[in-house]
Amino acid sequence: MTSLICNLAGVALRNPIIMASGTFGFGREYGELYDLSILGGIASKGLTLHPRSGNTGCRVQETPSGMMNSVGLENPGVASFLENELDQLVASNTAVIANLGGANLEEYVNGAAQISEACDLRQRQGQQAVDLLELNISCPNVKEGGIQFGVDTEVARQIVREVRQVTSIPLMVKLSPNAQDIVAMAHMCEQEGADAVSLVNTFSAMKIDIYQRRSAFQNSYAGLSGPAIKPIALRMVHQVSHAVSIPVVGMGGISSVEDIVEYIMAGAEAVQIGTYNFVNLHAGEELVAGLTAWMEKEKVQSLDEIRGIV
Amino acid sequence: MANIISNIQVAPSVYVIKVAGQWAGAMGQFYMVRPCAMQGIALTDPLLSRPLSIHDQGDDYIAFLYRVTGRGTTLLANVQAGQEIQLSGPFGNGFPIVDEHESVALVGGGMGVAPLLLAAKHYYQAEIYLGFNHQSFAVESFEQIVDRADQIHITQGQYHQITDIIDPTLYSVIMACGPAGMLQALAEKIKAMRASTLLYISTEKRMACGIGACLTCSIQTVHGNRRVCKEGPVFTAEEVNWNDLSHM
Ligand SMILES: Cc1cc2nc3c(=O)[nH]c(=O)nc-3n(C[C@H](O)[C@H](O)[C@H](O)COP(=O)(O)OP(=O)(O)OC[C@H]3O[C@@H](n4cnc5c(N)ncnc54)[C@H](O)[C@@H]3O)c2cc1C
Ligand SMILES: Cc1cc2nc3c(=O)[nH]c(=O)nc-3n(C[C@H](O)[C@H](O)[C@H](O)COP(=O)(O)O)c2cc1C
Ligand code: FES
Repeated sequence: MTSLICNLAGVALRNPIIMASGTFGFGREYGELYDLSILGGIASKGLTLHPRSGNTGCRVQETPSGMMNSVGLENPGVASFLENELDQLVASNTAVIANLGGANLEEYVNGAAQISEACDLRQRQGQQAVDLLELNISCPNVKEGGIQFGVDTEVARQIVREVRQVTSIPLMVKLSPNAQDIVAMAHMCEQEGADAVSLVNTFSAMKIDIYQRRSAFQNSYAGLSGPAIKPIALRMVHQVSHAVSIPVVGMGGISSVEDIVEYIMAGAEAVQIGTYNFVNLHAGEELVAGLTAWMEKEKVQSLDEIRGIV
Repeated sequence: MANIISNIQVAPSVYVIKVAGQWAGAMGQFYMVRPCAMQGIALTDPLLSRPLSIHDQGDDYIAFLYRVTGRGTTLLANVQAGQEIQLSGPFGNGFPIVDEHESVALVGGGMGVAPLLLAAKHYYQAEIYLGFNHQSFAVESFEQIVDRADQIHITQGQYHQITDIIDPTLYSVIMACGPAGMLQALAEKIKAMRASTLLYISTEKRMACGIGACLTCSIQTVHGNRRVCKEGPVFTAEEVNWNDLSHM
């Protein structure tokens, strides 16, 4: 019997295929296209304590086999998520991952505390809650001129440490590939009590409108994702998963079953699918079916047989 | 996957692609169009699907009218009858169905004429205004469906604006599609003439998912942000922010 089951920091996943934050909304739209319960999990759109209307101007540009986005964390805020989105996410019967960002330390901590309290209450009432909190440290640090929190290990440490103190929900820190030293960053997360790390978020990138003679994005830079980043992201996942003992969730440019297998062989416990959801609106269900078929064909009964073998 | 019946140039850089099959959709809705995966291998360059409005629709076909502007549409112009493309849709909220007592005008500028043919099929008694900076296209298709030939009004050339020849006070509802500047000029003319005309516009933003999940197509409205692919592409002129719409 082939088994796709994974154990992500104590959370049992049906399979290693999780839908990445910001590419899957809160699941509603894809839920109209296929049965979400076949997925390993869903990471919510990036939440912040307060609602955000996101960036103005152009929000997406294409590049060969990649895209840059400058959505700017448009989201309804933590309270609205808990009130209007969580029930239906839970009803989709897959692992629910709340992705949390922030503009400053207080916002991160208060956002995590609010999610945590609401989930404690739900659990006391016998309702399923958030299975994992994914901490997005790639947000711009407004105080430091917009440099991402996730660039400097010591800046990020403060956020991880203080968020860890206010929540008992399994905590997964989502690393930025723009980090000065992504291995040191992962070590820090482990030291500060994170239960897992996920990587990578988008690469800081640029597009110039040569006729207007300025950046195509009002914010100058934007986040690069898609197949174009896969080889670099895979290398980072390989480095990190060999350096820490907490589980690693790998992502960046996955667009096929073979890509998923590469990430697992590099050491990932599970993977996330982001941009490919736009290329193929049925990516989730096709990759789950495809991975099962691949394992049967290759006579791999459990992903443990191949995990981290490279 | 969908079989291409024909893909014909109708003006410089402008094509009509006709695809076989029974396809759902209403006036003003759009499809996301991309090359087919080959033997299960997704083609990822160009990466994103391209939004195209439904131009025409019949029992066994759907058609799109498009201009070649970049990599995706250049590839599209080079696929031939008998080959396949991939369509996802229909998506979005199209033009509204209004009471038959309303006096309706349809206004299209350039590629903005694309979604109006389906609207003209519904509002076959409406007055139709089509403006072209260069050579006109698709006009014969409109001529075939209207009641009277004089329902169709055309301007051509950069110094003849379609907005100049419309008297909005004659209409209770105008549905328009075209460059943001043209739509804004129309809205301002309605205001300046103190007409009570309700103006619906079809908007454009760059898109990634097309289904409402990624928020790359958000626009600012008086009700807060709205997704062009989901709540739009058709909005009322009163609710949009023109400055935001002028940024692609
Ligand atoms: C709802 C909607 C309906 C549309 N209907 C039509 C139609 O019926 N006929 C037609 O000719 N055009 C239509 N467009 C515009 C059409 O989508 C673009 O011209 C097309 O995507 C350009 O692709 P490209 O590969 O040629 O250009 P490139 O410049 O190579 O495209 C790069 C990226 O920018 C996006 N992009 C570029 N221009 C536009 C634009 N004007 N609007 C949205 N995205 C853009 C592309 O989709 C792609 O992701 C519509 C746009 C929207 C949003
Ligand atoms: C449109 C878009 C929005 C995103 N929003 C978020 C977000 O809110 N929070 C977050 O942690 N990551 C966000 N991401 C990053 C993805 O979750 C993922 O880390 C990245 O895109 C790399 O994976 P991919 O190449 O498979 O897309 C976003 C990505 C895209 C393309
Ligand atoms: S294109 Fe993704 S939300 Fe509109």
